[in-house]
Amino acid sequence: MHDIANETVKFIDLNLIYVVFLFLVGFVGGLVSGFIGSGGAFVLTPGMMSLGVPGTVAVASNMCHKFPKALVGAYKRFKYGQVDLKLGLVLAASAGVGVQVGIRIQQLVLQKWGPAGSDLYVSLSFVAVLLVVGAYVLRDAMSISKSGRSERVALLAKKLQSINIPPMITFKTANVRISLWFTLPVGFATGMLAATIAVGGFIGVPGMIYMLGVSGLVASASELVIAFVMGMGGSINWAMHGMIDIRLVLIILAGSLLGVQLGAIGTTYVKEYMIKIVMAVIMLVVAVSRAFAIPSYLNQLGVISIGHGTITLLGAISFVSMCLALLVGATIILVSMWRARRPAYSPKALAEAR
Amino acid sequence: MSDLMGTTHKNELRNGRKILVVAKNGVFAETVINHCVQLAGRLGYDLAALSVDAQCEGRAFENRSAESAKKLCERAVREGIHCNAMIRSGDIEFAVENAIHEIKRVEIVVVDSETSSESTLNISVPVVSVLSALNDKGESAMPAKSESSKAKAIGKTAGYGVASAACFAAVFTNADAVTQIFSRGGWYAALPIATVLAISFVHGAFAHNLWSLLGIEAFKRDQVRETEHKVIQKRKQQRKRPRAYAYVNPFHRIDL
Repeated sequence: MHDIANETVKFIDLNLIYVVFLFLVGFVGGLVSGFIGSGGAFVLTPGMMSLGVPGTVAVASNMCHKFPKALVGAYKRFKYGQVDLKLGLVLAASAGVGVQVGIRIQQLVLQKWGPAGSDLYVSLSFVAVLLVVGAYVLRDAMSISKSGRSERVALLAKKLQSINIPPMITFKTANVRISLWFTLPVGFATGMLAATIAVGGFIGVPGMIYMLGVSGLVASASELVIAFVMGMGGSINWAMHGMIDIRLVLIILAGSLLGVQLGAIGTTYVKEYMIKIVMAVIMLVVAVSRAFAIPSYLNQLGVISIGHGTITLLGAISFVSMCLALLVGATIILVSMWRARRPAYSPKALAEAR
Repeated sequence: MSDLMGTTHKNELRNGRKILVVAKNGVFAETVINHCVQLAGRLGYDLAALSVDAQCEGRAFENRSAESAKKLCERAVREGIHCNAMIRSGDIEFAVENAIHEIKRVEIVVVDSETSSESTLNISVPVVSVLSALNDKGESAMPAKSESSKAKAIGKTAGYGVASAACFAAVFTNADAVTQIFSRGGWYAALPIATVLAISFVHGAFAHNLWSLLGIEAFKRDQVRETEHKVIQKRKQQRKRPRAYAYVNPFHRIDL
């Protein structure tokens, strides 16, 4: 197995532009994941592949940078009292099963419809899940923002919390008591999405908020625990197959460890609904970006026929809009942090006082 | 409420009118001290000094505010004015209201002009803002951090920065060999995992110190609000407690 890996895997030569690109994407991705619990991975994998890194190495290296980043972010937010460790670990356990099922489904799709079919399945999952969940989260965040009220526990979560099916678990930091059976689908779906589109948090965080009744702040922080557990498991698996390019991992990590801490600090400045807004905006832009990629897969499957130039153009639009999603998220975080900083001394007020 | 100075205990018993002086970041500026001592002298009021640890700094804040409050109290005592110093943590407005509620007869609140106007907007007592931005020499009157703690922070950041750079250099100077060994698979899988964990520790500590050096630190608003909430709840409960009234029969001992 080892020899095969060595023969087939070609590690790319790095130049300065590649290093700067990976560092910056790492930083911005880290910033977003420190803030909303996940993100960055959806740009890094295609980003690395566009630099010529083989798909499996890109996925493996991405995962290997993800778990130490999640560890640092989770530790930082744990210190702020935002992480519910028990919730994270319980969900991570069921997410592990979800990942295995997700991989099986991927393999089945690959066998039946080939690589283009698999890509189409991934893109369709992206668009369907992110559009529905993203729109719902955005609507909720906007209504909180407009009414000025604090976050309320969703009706579904209230109903589920009132159903007493043993074993009931109390999550102290999240301030939730709910049956274990209702946490399982959330964890399972997180794992399945992680195996399919590499960002489980897009379903994990909204799942925790709207199904379990956890606040946005605690949900996004606990998601980092899930990301750490799943990322570490996945990374060990990939490392045993010799697929990790340690140089790429370290460059991304250099940027993302700076970003993840800034993102975690940011959560203590802004209002809670900002986490939902950032997450929803990123999800919706990513959904649109993946929608641009669908025609090229349909073309490969022979369902429709479009020219080579159009496919290249759509691919470029898809990648740029994906980067844009990350940048928009990072900008919202930084701007809201800037606005929410403690009111500083203003010379104008002083002049008036004089 | 904790007293900062042992000499002021007897002041607790005094029931005179008071001026509450609020420190900015634990420090009473020279201009603020001058103004409040003179005002108290003219009006015949006592002084109550309040330092609010809004950012939950803890011990460092206590030391800094004790030193500054001592200066204020010594100055007041020289002028024959009673001065009582106290320290609080949490939101400034809440701490000031709380102090007014507890020490009673606070007529005026004196604040530093650099205290944000928002945090003193809803105080129930007249607030006087004293200009303190610059001292006589035109220097900033209140450095945000002492020189020694800043030097320590720079040293820590530089230390972790060098260690982090050394880790990166160790991998990248022999990049080809390292990449090949790390991708052998099997038990060699432990190498990349251990490396990223080590880097996450060293580089993570560097990043933490760097942001903190640049003044970007967590705002512990949630914990502060939570404490305030608990205090308010406690007070409400105390208010609800039924009072015991003595019933005196007016017709007692009256023989009809």
